[in-house]
Amino acid sequence: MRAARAAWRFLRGEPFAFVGAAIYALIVVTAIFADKLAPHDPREILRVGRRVARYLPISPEHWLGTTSSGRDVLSQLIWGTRSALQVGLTAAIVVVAIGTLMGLLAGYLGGWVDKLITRLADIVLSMPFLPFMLVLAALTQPGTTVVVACVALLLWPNTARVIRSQVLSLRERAWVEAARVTGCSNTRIMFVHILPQVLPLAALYGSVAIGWAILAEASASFLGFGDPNTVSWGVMLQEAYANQALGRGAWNWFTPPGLAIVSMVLAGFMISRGSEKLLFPKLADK
Amino acid sequence: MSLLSVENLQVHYLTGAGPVRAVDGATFAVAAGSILGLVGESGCGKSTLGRAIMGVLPDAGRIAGGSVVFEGRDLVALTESQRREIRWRRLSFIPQTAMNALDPVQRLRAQMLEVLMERGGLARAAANDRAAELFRMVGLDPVRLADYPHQFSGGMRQRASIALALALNPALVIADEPVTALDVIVQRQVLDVMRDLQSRLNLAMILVTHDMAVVAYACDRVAVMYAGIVVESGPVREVLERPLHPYTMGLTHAFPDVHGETGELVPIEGSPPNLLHPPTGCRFAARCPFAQTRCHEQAPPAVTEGEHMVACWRADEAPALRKAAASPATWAAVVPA
Amino acid sequence: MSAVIEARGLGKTFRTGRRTVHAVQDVSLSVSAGEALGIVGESGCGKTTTARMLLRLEEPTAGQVLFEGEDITHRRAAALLPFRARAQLVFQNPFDALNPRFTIRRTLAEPLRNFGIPEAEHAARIDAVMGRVRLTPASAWLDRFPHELSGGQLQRVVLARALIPGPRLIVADEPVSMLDVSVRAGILNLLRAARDELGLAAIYISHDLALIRYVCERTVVMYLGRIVEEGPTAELIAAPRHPYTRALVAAVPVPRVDQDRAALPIRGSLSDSPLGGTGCAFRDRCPHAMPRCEAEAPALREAGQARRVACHLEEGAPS
Repeated sequence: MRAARAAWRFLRGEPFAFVGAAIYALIVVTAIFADKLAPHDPREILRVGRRVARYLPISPEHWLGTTSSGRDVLSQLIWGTRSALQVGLTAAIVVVAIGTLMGLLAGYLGGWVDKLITRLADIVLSMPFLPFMLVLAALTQPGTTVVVACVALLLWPNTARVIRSQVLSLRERAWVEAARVTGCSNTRIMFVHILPQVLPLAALYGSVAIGWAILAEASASFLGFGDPNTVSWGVMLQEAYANQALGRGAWNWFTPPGLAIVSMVLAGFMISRGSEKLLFPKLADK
Repeated sequence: MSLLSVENLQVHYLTGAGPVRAVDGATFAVAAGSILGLVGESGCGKSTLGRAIMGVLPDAGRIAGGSVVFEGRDLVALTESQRREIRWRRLSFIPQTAMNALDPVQRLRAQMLEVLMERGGLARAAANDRAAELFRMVGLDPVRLADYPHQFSGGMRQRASIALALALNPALVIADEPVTALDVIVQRQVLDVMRDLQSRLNLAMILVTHDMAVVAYACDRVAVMYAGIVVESGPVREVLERPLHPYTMGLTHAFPDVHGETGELVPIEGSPPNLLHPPTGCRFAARCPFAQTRCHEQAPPAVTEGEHMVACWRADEAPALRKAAASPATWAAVVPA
Repeated sequence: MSAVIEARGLGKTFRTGRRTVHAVQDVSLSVSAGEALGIVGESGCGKTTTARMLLRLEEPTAGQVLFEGEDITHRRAAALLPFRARAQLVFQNPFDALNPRFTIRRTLAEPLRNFGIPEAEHAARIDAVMGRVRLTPASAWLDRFPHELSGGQLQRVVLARALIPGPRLIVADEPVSMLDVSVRAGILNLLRAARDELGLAAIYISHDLALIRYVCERTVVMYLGRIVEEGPTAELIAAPRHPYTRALVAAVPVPRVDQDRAALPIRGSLSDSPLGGTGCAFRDRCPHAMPRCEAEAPALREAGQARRVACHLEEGAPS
């Protein structure tokens, strides 16, 4: 309760974070009630009389028109939030878990563990994202698992770096030494005493990872490595592209998923920018 | 005629929950060429008071009443630009950590010259001479003007920040806990520099500190603050040897004297009141072993006898109270809420 | 009386890049049950490093640490657990010494859990220790978080946490320097009472001789990593033998108007002191330095009843 009130007070003072959180909230609500909100089944091929209702423009029946195969764009967009959230959240959780663990180990244990993890992080950060994902997708079954795996494998160093530096300063605090004097093992100090202190920071990096994961999924789908049976914003874009929606001027088809992706990625960055002030007050002073 | 006279000064910090009365009626004076010790515990308003006089309160701070008359002018009524004219030239400031006064990425010479030439209007050659003179004055080798602050030890940094504060020959310097962070030997050396400057330059100083021993060593007069109010003030000898306020009496028994008696030390139990909602009566009443009903109901007025001011309902009984205050049992009997 | 803790020729050398810093050199001392030893000196004199080695928070690079007769100098972290339960630390800064996300109850339960005390005993132990540090009734405090407490109250909790595992040794590093003057006496009195009633060995580290005199019968003075003088605190203050101790005693501020304001019998500052080489480390600041001080470092020698001094001037002096 106290945390909720603090979060609210913070959001009121930080317009960036507020807008970001509002976008996330909207998407979560949409995803939860997708089946109630969507006017049609996203995969249903609609007809007008006998003919497939392809390329219908915006109208009161179809707020965002229909696709080349006669599917309702709005319904696809709404259902797309589910897969976006699913991919985003899974990837974010995995990224945060790996990144936090690595950062904690490197920062607290130091020495060769730190050197090893830092070196590994440098190598991973130097790998180009898209080619890595394409190779991985080509070698395995294309689908969301590959996307999540890619995001997790390539994005943990960002989280790990920040967590590491945070842990480096935390472990100099007297209460960490006090934990040692009162008989805590290194494991206990790391996971019981230090971990709860860095979780907010980890969650922040998770919110950025959500955006990245959705972007990655969209790119993969757009390039044809997505799962064609799911309804996702990336698949929508890919279909629109394949059917030359651009040339036909069917902007009501490709613009909404594009905007949805952009706004969700943006929301992640807005939250992180806003909360930087909270987490690094010194940074904000300058 | 005092150099500085502070009359019933009120400083409030505006918070979401209402104004915090950090300083709530401070009255004292500083004579030219004398050192006033402003003592009190953390949160008693002594640093706020120093900053209010300097006109460098943080954003949420407001002077809500009273006057600060310095060299015949009320600083509270001045505009910011008029105040800036006075600051550094007539009135200057030494912060607790010298690093706050010194720029870490500039050599000390550059910092001195900036003040001397831009604020003081000196030519480069004259400014250079003056910088060397100031360094000698605080016991530093002028050669060290070529150094960066991080090349200095803590004591040397504090000397340098004193030199910087004195650059334009101010009449009054406010020093906020200038020796608290220093080791005893360095602390003594810095205090000696300050006393020496006082007598040589006829400099007046306000020395903000929590340490009665520092006051005893270096100050001529002392003002004791508690919860935003000056509860007692007067010549150091008077206040230390014949304290009239129970809080001052408590302080004199609260910490050991290296050469004195080894009797039991007497803590003052409890903690200062919340200044968001200060109590109606005497602010010390909740921790005072001598508090009576009247003390809890009505704030005592400040009474001055000779040069000794006190705000306590039972000041008349001070000799008897002093005797009682020396016994640990007296203070142990207080159970603060 | 046998020593609870003993240091023999303790030393710590830090290597930073090409430079070697002898933070502590050849420190020997011992503290018995019920006794309090003060370690005084300026910042950088090695007093904190010495204490950290005694508590094995730092591994010595020379000499030995014996706790109740057992050599723990190079004992591995996992094997130190029984020692940890018996040797505790009171921190300098109470505002930083408690985990901000732990309630007081959890803070106090943590050592009990770690040292394997059955859960059934926790509540009683916590209650007893809260009584000892005068935070009563315990129930009013245990569910609070550190940010809800004042400095003096926090330091009581820090003391409670140190006492709860039932230690034989308490090390207090500047235990009141961060506290308000009015509450300092309360903490010092609690520390004194705990030592007397529980028969603990205590080590106080401070730069303040007045404080040390109040709580310690015996004192060692350190300068640049070495012990320069040792003796009963009262005698050491009344009649300091080492020139450095003399300056230290003269510099202690006293809350009296009539006092000696003469210049200190010391020259220069700590940074003027030679970093290595032979000779006495204090020679550049010593008003009595002679050629011999340049050539040869004085050894710490017996100088009368229970006193030791490391100064050439003291050699041949009546003991």
